[in-house]
Amino acid sequence: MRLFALFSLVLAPQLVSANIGSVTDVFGVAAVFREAQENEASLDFGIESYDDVRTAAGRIELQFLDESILKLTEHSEIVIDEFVYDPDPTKSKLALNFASGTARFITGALGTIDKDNIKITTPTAEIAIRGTDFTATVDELGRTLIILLPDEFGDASGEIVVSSMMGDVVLNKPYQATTVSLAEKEPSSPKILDITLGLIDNMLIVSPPKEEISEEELVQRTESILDFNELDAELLEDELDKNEESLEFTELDIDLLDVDFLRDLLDVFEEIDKETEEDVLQEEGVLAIVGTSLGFDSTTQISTFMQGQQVVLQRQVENTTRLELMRNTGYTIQLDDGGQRYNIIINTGGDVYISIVQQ
Amino acid sequence: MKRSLLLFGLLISSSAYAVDNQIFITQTTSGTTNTQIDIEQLGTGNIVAGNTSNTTTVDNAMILNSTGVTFNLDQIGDNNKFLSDINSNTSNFNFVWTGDGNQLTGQWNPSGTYSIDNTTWTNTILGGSNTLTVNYGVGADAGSGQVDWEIDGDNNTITFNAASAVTHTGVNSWNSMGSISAADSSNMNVDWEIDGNNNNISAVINSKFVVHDWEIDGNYNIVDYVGINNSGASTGNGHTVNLDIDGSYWDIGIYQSSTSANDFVNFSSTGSGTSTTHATLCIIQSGSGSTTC
Repeated sequence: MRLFALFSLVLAPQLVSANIGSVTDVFGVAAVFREAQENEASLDFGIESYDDVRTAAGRIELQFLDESILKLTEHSEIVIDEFVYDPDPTKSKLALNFASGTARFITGALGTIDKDNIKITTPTAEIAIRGTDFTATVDELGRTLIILLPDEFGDASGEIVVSSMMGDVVLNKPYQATTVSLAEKEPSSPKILDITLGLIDNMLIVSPPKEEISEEELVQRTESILDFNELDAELLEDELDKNEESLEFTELDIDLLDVDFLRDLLDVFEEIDKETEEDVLQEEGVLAIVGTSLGFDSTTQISTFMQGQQVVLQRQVENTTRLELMRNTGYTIQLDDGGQRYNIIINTGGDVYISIVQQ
Repeated sequence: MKRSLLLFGLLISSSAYAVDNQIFITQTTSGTTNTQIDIEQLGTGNIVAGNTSNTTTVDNAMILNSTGVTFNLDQIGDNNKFLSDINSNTSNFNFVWTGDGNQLTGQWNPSGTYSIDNTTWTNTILGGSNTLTVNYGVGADAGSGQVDWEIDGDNNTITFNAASAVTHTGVNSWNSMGSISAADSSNMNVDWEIDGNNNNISAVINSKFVVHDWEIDGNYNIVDYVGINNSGASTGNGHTVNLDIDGSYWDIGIYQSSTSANDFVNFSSTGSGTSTTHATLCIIQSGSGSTTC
């Protein structure tokens, strides 16, 4: 049984001749916006270039002509910027823009589009595909979490390159993930998440498997906008118990009742990433920094970088201040920019107090 | 060219240490050039000052007006006094204090009779607990001057104002720029090399461009620097402070005030404090005269 709590929909005629794919599964509330018109996303609805596909309390699965599959979870949006289908794979193109939410993209098995011609963007990152299966999660701030998923044998499904304006990272291991918080910042160092494909699938299954879930349970799921109930929780607990010592992702980090699990995962990833980096850096006697970021931080307007055994903080707004500090010494830095204050802690802070006023 | 050098009550030390040697210098004749003075005083309580001084308190400064001066002074011993009122340009001064408890009070071009541009001053303080106060280029042209301070001793107090007198007792109680009359000390370079401990340095620079280099290797040193009024500087110039600190437990205040927004502070440190005894640095770059850290 499927429940549809629809938006106020205005149905538009389908232009079958321009179809580049179709809706192959839908659950709950989803719509396709085309030329400012909102269309109910029903099964077999034709998809065209420049369609804006959105979900509310629902999920949707699209299949393109090359058999690439795109799945969206609740409260997601993706714009199909370009799709060119040609018998010659080198002339085919696919460009998708993940605006928000969570999506799983599985490249087509037909090989009718060269992977070099598949371009996927988010507000902060670009994803080049040399693999087949990954998820992308974009939160309301534009932060992006990319997870490379395994193939049927549990190996990496290939390789993807995640890029921002400041650099790129390569994901080539199962469940390896990276985040991009700003387009002007480098993607984070790849981490392997301690999660399972079943967990991901549960979040991305469009039509819950009828043979395993009773109608009553399905209603329960639908009412909570979750495909994630106690049964899934037990499964997850079993999986997570296998590696309780993992620093990457623990049972305690999962909010089983949160519909935005993957968005939470983005927060968890960033927290783990920060804590892990600080732990490693502290162990190595190098650097932990809080309050401003390595590279250029658009909030504090401070550029921070390593230079030999020193960490350099430079702020040039009108006048210029440049601090060359020891990477293993504690600094507490207070920056006052016209009354706006920022606190920066390097390592444990407290040994050296630095106040900077720039007006 | 006329050279007028009056020495009153001059007692030249012999190889044996003497005390209370007093050298009085008054050279006020205008147009004097290429004056050369070499003085070495050994012992304690020696004085270089002005001849009008009270013979007991010795409170008047020597007067020297000339262009092209070469003046070498070595006061080797303790509790010596050097009171100077020097007006010159295109000159070289080399002053060395080796003992403790010495006093320098200098007005270097206080009247504006001469500009003191293109002049090099080298001040070497090898002892401790010395008090040195210099007002430099007040109301006059002090452009392209080079002033070097080398401080190897401890507990010295040095006040250097390349501006007219200001009310200034620290960055946090900085008053206003209104009391400062501009001296043109454009293109000045001031170098400080501090290897001693517990020294207290205060410097105020009123100029278009100045480069201040501080190299501090000692501990517990206090630096209070104010650079103001670079409004005449061209783009890319202004006040530049380069601080290189290897010592620890320092307390440093850097105040750069101008509306031209072309000041620079470059701070490099290998020293630090501890969680109980901090090292502190305050940097203010502001067009406002009332900003505090």
